[in-house]
Amino acid sequence: MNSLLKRLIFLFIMMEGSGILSSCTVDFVPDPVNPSLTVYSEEGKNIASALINGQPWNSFSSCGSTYWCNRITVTNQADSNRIIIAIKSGRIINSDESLSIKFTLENTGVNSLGEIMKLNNLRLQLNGQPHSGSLSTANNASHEGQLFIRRIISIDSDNYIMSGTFGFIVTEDSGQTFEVFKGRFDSYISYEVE
Amino acid sequence: MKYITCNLFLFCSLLTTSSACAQFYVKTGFIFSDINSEHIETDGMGRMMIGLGGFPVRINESLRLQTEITFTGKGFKYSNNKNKEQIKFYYFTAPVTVNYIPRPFFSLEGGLEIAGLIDAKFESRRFNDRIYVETYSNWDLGAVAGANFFENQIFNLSIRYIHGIRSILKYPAFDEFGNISGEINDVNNQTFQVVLRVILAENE
Repeated sequence: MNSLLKRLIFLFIMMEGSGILSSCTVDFVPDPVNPSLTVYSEEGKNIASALINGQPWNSFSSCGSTYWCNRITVTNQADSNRIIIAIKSGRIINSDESLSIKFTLENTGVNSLGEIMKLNNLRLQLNGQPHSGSLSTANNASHEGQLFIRRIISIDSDNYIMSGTFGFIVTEDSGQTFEVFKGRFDSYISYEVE
Repeated sequence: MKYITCNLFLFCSLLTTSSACAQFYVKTGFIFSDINSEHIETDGMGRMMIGLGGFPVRINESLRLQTEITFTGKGFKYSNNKNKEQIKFYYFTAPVTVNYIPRPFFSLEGGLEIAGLIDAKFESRRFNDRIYVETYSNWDLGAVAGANFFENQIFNLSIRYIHGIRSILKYPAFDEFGNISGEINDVNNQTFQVVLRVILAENE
């Protein structure tokens, strides 16, 4: 009977202990409610995700949580007083389709990287007047929606983390509608001036 | 770590202050684990556990205190999920129960279990690797009810149900446009255990 116990303990170690021993981190951390999306966080994980017409879309880096692996580019179009926040290309799960998401914001008062904190805790309606959201695979911009830049963290004068949530609806001229729901992002940002 | 140290101290204290009744055992067995939440649709999953326990204090002829330290797997599977995504938890637990012994071969038990989360893993067909999950609370508290059979034998059987009385998750609930519509704080562990116990020492 003692050998039976030893076998049970061995079986336990094989089945349960192996999980601990084979620990390996990947940068995708799942949302606890919808595990197809990334978790909402505010610490520069370099991740973004959303449901596009119900299909999970994820943009995350395989190289970690540093500035060099960031998923967000903020482009300042100085002459037009416009900034564009672009989330780098991500994949729709179980599909080969890849696309990026872009927010066009007008008159934010951000003219340099040092002024990016003006966007902190800013909720913007994405109804096209004046702000909008769009998909790289669609021609039109959103007519309904919201971008909420919940938190910007200044690491130093050159490095910032931007975190927030979004959702918007785009209707193409053909009548096809794209619903981009439950969006979230948490990434270091690259800043460019055009 | 402080939590585990405290519980080991408590456990050892109870063992060393044993009265005339002292019985120590090792245990291992199968667990059916799930969570109870209105916000997350899940299915249960099988896990395993291993542990040490004893009855260091006899309160009277039919009541005694039972303390244990176990390494326990818990977790759940997401329902209707093509990628077979699941969360596995690894806990150190310290249940403390009172045993009522109506017959020499049978006892009923009730008490509390405090648990410290060692690790949590997300598994999915989408990834080759298990992924560390930092979203969940690093401790848990559960209410324990169970029964033990053939207690007068060296090998005996125990069944136990543990219902979490504390949410292991605090997380914002988002609406479609990214507004926070509330907080998810109703995620409780539920486990049913069938365990084989082997008595190592008895001093009665």
